[in-house]
Amino acid sequence: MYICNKLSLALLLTISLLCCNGAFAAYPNVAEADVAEINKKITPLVESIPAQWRLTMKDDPTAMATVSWSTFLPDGEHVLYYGRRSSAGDLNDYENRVVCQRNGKYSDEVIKKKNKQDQAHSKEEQQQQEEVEPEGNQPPKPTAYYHHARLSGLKPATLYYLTMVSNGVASGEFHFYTAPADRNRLVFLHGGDSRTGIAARSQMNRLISELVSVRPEICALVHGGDYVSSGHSYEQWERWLSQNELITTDENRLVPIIPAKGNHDRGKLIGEIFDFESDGEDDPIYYYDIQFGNHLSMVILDTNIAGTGAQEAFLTDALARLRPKTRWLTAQYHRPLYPAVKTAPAHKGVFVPLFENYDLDLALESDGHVIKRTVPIRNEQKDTTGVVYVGEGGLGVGQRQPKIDRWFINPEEGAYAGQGHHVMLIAADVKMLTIETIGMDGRVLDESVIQARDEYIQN
Amino acid sequence: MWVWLLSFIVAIQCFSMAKPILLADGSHAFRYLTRQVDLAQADESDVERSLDAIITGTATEADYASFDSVDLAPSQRPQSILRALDHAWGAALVLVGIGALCIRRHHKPLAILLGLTSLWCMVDSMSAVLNGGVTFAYLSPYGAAARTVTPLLLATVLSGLPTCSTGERISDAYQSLFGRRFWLNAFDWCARIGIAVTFASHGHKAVAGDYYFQDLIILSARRIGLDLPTNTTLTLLDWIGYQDVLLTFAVLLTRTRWVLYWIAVWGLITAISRITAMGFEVFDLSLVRIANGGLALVLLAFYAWLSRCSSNQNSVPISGLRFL
Repeated sequence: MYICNKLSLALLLTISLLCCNGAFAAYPNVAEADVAEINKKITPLVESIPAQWRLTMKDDPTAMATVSWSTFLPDGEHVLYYGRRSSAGDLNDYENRVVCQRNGKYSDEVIKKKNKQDQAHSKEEQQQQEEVEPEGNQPPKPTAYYHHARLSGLKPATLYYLTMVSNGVASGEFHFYTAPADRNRLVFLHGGDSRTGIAARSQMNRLISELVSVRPEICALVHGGDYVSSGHSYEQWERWLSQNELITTDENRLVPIIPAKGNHDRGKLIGEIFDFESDGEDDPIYYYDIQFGNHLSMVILDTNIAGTGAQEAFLTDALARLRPKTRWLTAQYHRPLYPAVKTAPAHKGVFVPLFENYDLDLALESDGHVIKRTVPIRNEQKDTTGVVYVGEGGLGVGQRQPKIDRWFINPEEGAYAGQGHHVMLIAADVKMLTIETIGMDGRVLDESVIQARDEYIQN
Repeated sequence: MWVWLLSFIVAIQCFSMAKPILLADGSHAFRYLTRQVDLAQADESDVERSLDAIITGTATEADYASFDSVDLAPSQRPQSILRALDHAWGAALVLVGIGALCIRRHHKPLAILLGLTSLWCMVDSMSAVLNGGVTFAYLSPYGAAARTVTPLLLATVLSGLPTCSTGERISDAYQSLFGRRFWLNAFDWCARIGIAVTFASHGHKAVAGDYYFQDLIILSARRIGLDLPTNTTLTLLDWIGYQDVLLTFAVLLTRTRWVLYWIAVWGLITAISRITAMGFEVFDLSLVRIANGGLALVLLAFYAWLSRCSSNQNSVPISGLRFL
């Protein structure tokens, strides 16, 4: 009996040690997954078949959402059927039907440029080219069409079923959950930078899908931007959009995206993809705030425009409005203010004083292509009352080496810096917010906890 | 005096160019090359073609299988080599800076390194265009024109012009330059074109309302207690842009002392605005722009020297210098 006890204790200890070392993945492991099999889930973008579906949350995630999809042809009516009951194949069973409020042809500024260059060629040059490359000049790839169905009046924390229909062709049935309004726990994913590494992008999207399957309380993917390398290129966005289907779970659950704009996402396409619309000739506004009841609020900022001016006014107003009534206050933007590799942008001079003044809890950053979690920072030094900055993007893009000699990511001070494809799982409870950095193999690379501030814990 | 000033500017420029290479994420050229290596290793072109076939519904099993051939953890050796080369160049820039500060003699190796520095400035700014991701990235080579020509100008001085013999003091050597009209004109025009191109590109960005300039102005103004409204800042930027364009033409068409003083003061103010807006941690962003204003000071000193020589030798090697 004594030997049995000792053996079982030894076994238990070994298992614990192996778990601590990450030998057993805490989450699904997609590092060895068959990418070919993963990609077989992608829907071809042909004729009027709804494809490249996505769900975007930008305003009130408890009551509003935008369901978007693409079709190769523009013909017919584009309608979303949705409701709290599954239709079981009969569209008439859905409680609601909404005709897409915004439809259009995706822009392709690269093709426009190419066409201009082509026009500039002389006839002789064109003839010469034709002689050399009789079949080499492929016509520009035609762009597809986007459709946005904006939903409002939804109930919080509610399961909705939906089917997209374009020109009479229906998609399969999908479902999604609206965000909870009064819960004491909110879980979401954060990641960024999927602009290169097409195979890795498929795997990371699969990881997100599997994470949502094993942790159904995950309510959204907060994406920090740099979806593609050139935001002007429809070709690149088309690939991203099709691969983005892979974040949908095997049970056909759509994962909402809360998007931010990266420095590579210039051009009109990002607005057409995530339904950002401008009132006039100006570019759409890519900064906004999103509230999950009084439990958690997030301010999404745009580091591609001036930090001062209108954006500063918005940020000041949003933080002043949200802080008193919100338990957890977070922000998301692309370029890191405390970068692990690069240098900080001018926005730091605007955002950081406001973050510190309004006791921001967590800042989600991208752009650096590393894994980073800073010490809490206030007044340019470690301070337990300060802001924690995490990031910096690894949804497919090649990783860089972090500069661990920077004081704010010094491991000896309790910070973390590393590299590898990753996504962050953030769980905000009443008293603490847990950040887990999950690698492609499902291992938890870093885990940390932020304690709630006493003055806002009652919210 | 003008050679000393030129050497000082080049040295500061070299040190500040070395900082991001040695202490941050490397040069633009390194980042561009690393990305190309990453892409080549991932062999994205095949995968892209396969993905396009999947999207268009024409994929075969071979298309799907192409994803399995992607090496997701390729050897990082080429990237390490590139990083080592970049670091080596960063260290070389420090040495070039020290050389520029210390060597006051005809020195061909240093001249060659300075020429390479100039070439590298051009390549690096072109890499910034290729890297993209920054507003007005396409203007990078133009914005960096002043800092590109500055090492080249010092290289020509140190390269041992025909009258310089090895070991001869530069101060003696360039005294003998006087009378070499072609060389003096080339030096003068290179410097002026460098300044003009830089100011023209900055002027364009300012008139276009570059958000970065807007932040620099507003944040710098706050340091002195001024809270500038956005509209005022944008109007100010317009005027700054027009002023830059005006200075572009002025420096190209005239050799006027007050224009050069204006360029020097304004160029240095705009360089320092990085520090005033963002703090000392970005001092390298200010120092790397020292040539924007510093080159005008070099020209002033250069003209003053020419004037002195003219009065001694009763001839003017550069047309228009009399009007200075």
